[in-house]
Amino acid sequence: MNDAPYALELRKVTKRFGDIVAVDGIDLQVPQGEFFSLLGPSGCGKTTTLRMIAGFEEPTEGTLLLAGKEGNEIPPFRRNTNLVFQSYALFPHMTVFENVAFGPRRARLPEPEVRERVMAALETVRMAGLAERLPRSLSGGQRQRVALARALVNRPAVLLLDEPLGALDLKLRKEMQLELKRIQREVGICFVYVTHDQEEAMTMSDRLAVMNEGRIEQIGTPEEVYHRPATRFVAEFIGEANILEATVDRVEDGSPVQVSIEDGTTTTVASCNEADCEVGSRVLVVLRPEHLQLHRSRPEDLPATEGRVAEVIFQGSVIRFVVERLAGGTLTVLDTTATPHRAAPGDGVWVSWLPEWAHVVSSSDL
Amino acid sequence: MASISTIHAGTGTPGPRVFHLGSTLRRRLATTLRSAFLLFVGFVLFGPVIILAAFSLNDSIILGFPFKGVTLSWYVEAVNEPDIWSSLRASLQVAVIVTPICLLLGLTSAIALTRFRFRLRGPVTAFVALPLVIPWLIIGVGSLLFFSATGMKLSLLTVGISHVVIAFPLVTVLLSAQLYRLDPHLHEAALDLGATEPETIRLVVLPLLVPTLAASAIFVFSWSFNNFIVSFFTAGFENTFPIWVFSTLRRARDLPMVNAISTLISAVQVTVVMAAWQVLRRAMDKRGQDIREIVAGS
Ligand SMILES: Nc1ncnc2c1ncn2[C@@H]1O[C@H](COP(=O)(O)OP(=O)(O)OP(=O)(O)O)[C@@H](O)[C@H]1O
Ligand SMILES: [Mg+2]
Repeated sequence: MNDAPYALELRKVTKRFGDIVAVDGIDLQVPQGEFFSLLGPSGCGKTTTLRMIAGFEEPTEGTLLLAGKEGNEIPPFRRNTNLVFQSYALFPHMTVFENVAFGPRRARLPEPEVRERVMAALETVRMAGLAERLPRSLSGGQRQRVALARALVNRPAVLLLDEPLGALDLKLRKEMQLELKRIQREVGICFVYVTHDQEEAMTMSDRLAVMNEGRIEQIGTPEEVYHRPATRFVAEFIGEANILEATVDRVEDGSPVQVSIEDGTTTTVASCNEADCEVGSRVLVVLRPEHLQLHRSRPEDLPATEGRVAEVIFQGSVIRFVVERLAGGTLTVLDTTATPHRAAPGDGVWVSWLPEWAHVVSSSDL
Repeated sequence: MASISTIHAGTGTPGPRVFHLGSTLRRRLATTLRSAFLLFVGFVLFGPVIILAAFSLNDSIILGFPFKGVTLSWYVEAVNEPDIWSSLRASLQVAVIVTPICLLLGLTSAIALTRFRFRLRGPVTAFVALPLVIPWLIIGVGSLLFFSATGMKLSLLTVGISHVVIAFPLVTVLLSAQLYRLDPHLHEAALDLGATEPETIRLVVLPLLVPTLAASAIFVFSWSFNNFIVSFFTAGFENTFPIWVFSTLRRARDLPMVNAISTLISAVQVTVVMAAWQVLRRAMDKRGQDIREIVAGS
């Protein structure tokens, strides 16, 4: 099992419900021990993907490999995967202990071992003290932990989690995010985590896949996805993005290195996901708000665009400027409140950026 | 009431004292009316039973006032009447056999109708629910025609068969409602944790249905035991208890005895059903469930 290259692999997997294409030919590979997230807006096919991995839906097309073996038709009860449901789905007539013992007992483990494993799993999620309680007497966070223990106790090769923190309040959510990450490191198994919250995915994942309308737009580490988004959708879904239309001026190795923005400013760009670009093709420059700077006058040695401050929003540790460009559209600039600012609404300003942070994506999905 | 008071308070001109008095009066009137209504409903519901019980103690053969004095002789006569015992035994026999069959049919049909999607699900659902809306008289006559057409001899067996036909849809409906209310993910969670389909039913679905099953058993049993119309058409020469009561009513001389035994049986039934309900509630309490879930959902 450990010599299988991936704990989980999907090859061109498609799922259709009648005319609806819920999942559209996705490819992904998750190595052993990775915390992998599926991130995307509502209805993009995250749950459907997870349910195919768990065995509750069969792919219409494509192949699913579990630990290197084809698994399209393995029924859920014979898969080495476990699913944590958003609604927790704890058995209401069983105590916490019985809930967690359900899996090991189905595996016909001897009762002393069941006991030992259950208590260890409850220990991991810090619920050992409440083993004899019924689910209805637990708080949301506690139920969440029991649901996790009930899945973990079976030592699955892949643990699937469908928005497991969705029902918790913000504070508990943040707590559980770190807790889940700790548990994942401790047990060392592969987690596939579904969420529509990009911050959550960034916080916890080793790698993540950004999904949109049944397709995967990009797979990468949180840094890669943030700094080098593959598409405009990814750029705007993950964090905040300022998008400028531009034309390619110079190409090296099939990748644009200099572009000119429609107001005439030229800028070199550091990274690009547009492989076959020609001089003259239209592209989009992605600039993160925290990589922009405000100036009173045109800066000498930096690419910059001119505008007028529309709004100044103080947000505690950061301050946000909304700048209306003279060439049309707005830019958001984030700065720390530590730097002294004199810009006020109505001021004419120049917004500059460091070329090494400028990133180009295709304008085809405009 | 509250909204009326508010309007008064708003118009303001009458002093707050007057307003207060008026509202108290109105509230008292409402309370009185409500009590009167409840009393009336109670009287209509329980009046006949109470009168029955009262006359079963009357030392007279005539069911009418004035009361002649208290006696237990009718009870003694009833207890010594062999026909009563044989008809009671017949009714018990039928109910005891009909109940588990109805539970089994109701359970399997409810699971099939709620869990599986098949092409004829709509029509099948309607068909199963049909006996609930067809008048019993029609079902009784229909059963009689059916049994005589197929040449089946009328007996307790035919009574039982018709009872099953009428009673199991009620179980199906009760159980389906409960199954619909269960989180569908419970079923999937069990499968995900390694339970096979049968194990899932046995370990997760059934335990969650136990309260509803128990309630259904109480309903079906007492319904079968008390049924007259359908039994009347399908019993042939057999006597169930309600049939015996009906046939004996024609002899005026035996009326007080029928009164006595009916009172007795009613008392026993009420006691048994209430006891069963209590036992059920205790058991559910222990499992962390609330008996109200059966009726009101969780
Ligand atoms: N059983 C089904 N029958 C028909 N359509 C379905 C079914 N399950 C999902 N779909 C459709 O497939 C698409 C993807 O659904 P899915 O539940 O996978 O989205 P999701 O990414 O999990 O969304 P959310 O964040 O809202 O949970 C949706 O358009 C949904 O309506
Ligand atoms: Mg979902």
